[in-house]
Amino acid sequence: MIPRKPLLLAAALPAALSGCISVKTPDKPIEINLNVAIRQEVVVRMQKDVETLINQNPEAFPRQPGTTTTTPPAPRQ
Amino acid sequence: MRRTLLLAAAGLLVAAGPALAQSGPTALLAVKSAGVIGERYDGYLGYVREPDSNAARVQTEAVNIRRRAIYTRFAGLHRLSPQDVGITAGCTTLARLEVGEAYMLADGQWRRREPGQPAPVPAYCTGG
Repeated sequence: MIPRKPLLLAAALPAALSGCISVKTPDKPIEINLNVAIRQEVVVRMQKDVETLINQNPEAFPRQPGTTTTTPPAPRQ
Repeated sequence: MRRTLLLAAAGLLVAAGPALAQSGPTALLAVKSAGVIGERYDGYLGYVREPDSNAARVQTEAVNIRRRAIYTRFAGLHRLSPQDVGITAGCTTLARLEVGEAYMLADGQWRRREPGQPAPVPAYCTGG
């Protein structure tokens, strides 16, 4: 014999849950500009190292003689 | 015959290498200060207009090839994309622009660094 009560309860559970949780799809797509976020993080983290790389490879980054080797202030962390 | 020609061409390239390195990229620097070629936000040199001298074009291409190799190597060491390394380098090359030199930001427009104006640096360079 299968008891009837648990079955009835199980059937009632989704109905009860649907009353508690309401999931609504947003009208507009969620925009996450991931590229810019990653780029900024990379730029800020790597700027000093890349600047050193540039200074060490003057043949790839030629400059007029007599120009200052120092660059404007680097971004703060 | 073809092989000899190829060998001769290779020989010329080898001979031209040290010669170029000694004389320096003079044609490139001349067109750069004239604003014919300029620095791009992506870390490469670009053409504002076609340079008159073939030497300038050859030197520009050589510089870009060197830069690509440098960016790719650094990217491999730090697990980054070469594009992001180039963009990071672009922040420095843009910041180092001399007055009168041309630059291109992400909008694709060429501009010149004006006298008395600070070097144009994209917002992502400063972390703000």
